[in-house]
Amino acid sequence: MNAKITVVRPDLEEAIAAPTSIAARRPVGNGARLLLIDNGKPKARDLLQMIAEELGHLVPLRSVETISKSTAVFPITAEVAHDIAERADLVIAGLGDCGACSACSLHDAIQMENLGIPSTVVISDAFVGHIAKFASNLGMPNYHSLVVPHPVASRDEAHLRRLAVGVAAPARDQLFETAKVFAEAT
Amino acid sequence: MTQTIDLDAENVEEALFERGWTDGLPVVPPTPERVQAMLVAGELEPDEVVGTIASRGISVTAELAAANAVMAGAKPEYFPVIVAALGALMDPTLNAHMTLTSTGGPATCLIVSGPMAAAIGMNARHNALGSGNRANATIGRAVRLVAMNVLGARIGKLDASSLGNPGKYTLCFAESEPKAPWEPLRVQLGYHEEDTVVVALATESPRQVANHLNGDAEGILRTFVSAMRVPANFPVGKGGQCVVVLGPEHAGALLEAGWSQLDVRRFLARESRISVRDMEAAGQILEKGSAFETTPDAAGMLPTVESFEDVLLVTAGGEGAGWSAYIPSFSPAKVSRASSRRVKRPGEALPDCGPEGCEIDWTRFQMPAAERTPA
Repeated sequence: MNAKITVVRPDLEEAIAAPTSIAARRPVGNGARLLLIDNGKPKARDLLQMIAEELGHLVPLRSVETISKSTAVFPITAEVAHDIAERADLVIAGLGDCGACSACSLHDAIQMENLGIPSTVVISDAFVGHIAKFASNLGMPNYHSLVVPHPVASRDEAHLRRLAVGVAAPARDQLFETAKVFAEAT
Repeated sequence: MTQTIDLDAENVEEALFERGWTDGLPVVPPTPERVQAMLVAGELEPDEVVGTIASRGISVTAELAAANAVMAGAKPEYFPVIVAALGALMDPTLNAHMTLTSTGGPATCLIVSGPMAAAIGMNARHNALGSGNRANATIGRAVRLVAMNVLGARIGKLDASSLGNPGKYTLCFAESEPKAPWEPLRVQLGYHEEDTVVVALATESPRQVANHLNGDAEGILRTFVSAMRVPANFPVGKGGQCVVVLGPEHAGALLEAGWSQLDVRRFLARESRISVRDMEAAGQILEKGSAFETTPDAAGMLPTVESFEDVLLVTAGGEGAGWSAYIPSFSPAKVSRASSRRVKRPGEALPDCGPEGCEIDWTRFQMPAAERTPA
């Protein structure tokens, strides 16, 4: 039998939050109040607002409000999240097209889910794997997202519009009662 | 609580690679005895917290820090400096949550200023930014290993670096004490002369700054300006921070000409501003409607560094033909700034900085020395 050497583990067992469910989805109804959390990345606000416009063609929206974060690299505070929950029925966060900003926009959406607000996050495809890890840490493994091809920041308005058209139906499915409840599948 | 595992002694280095605990180079097995020697040198209990990233709810204990310090090849006497460096890494000012995950892939540049640097054998002279000195190499490496193994900054986990840079293995050096009346970095920051302080900044790789023939102070500084005003550096046009490492010939010329450190920093900040036209000529499109949108000043100029306070001026390196170095931050200062920690002296408790960390009073950094009182 080979000799053994004892070593101290240099890593940290990951603190994974207990899985929780997304907020209950409601029927389309007569019009929901949609709030967009723009993280300030180039083209983020433009793309989010186009997605809202395209979503508005599929379902009635009573209002669309945009808030812009001062930096993409911090999630919204709990206080801001509670304020949003007071005045919005649905939230779309984004744009996650880099390391820290993807994690923070995902964190924004999950904070809103935890407050009972159906939400989703716009992520460029290069970062889908990146946020999957973070979603598990935040207690929502396999959290849904609206995936657009990477990169986004260098694209023109016509291209952004095509992206918005492409994710409008998934946005509807993720935000309303028709959504697949991912949490039960995991 | 200590977690240990038993590995095959004959193949222990391979086993450590297979577990993903290295930076791609072999590591020293963190046996309980070696880890304990680190903790003794640092006068720390295994479960004492040396830093926290509050937004992720992650804390680094002294034992985790020690295990990674052993793996990096550090001697126990380096451990107090490593603990201070980890405190600086996890200071909210630096925003490690961003710097360790960003596609920009920065190094964590560590500058050690103070008497303990020489006492543990750090190199501040020839090849200070290069290889060959155990303390320089392993202090920086230990911090990176903690980032990877404890804070999850690995490819496939949370490190989304598009390219990274070689400084991600290690980028740590000691300051060479400047000649009077210039002050060492720690005193410029408001610490005491007898303190040893670690300053951390998330940076690109260092750039050599060569000026071998010009002994004129302004000429030398204009060469620095040419290294700073580079549109390809992300913070240029938005306002970042930087480390200006003055080699002996360049520092000597500035001192002989009577320039104060404040004069130098003000000159570099002012002259490194860049015109909108030069940004556009380099193919850069100015950000509009985004968080990094900046407005040109009345002269149509944009900042390279936010202000003169954002120029960290240090002396290092050995005599030569006239070499210095410029190390730019990888991001605008709006999202990540330099942080610092004083190295704990024997018999002291770790500073309790609370959940928001130990904030630097940057207003001190803009004062002439005569107006400052030590922190």
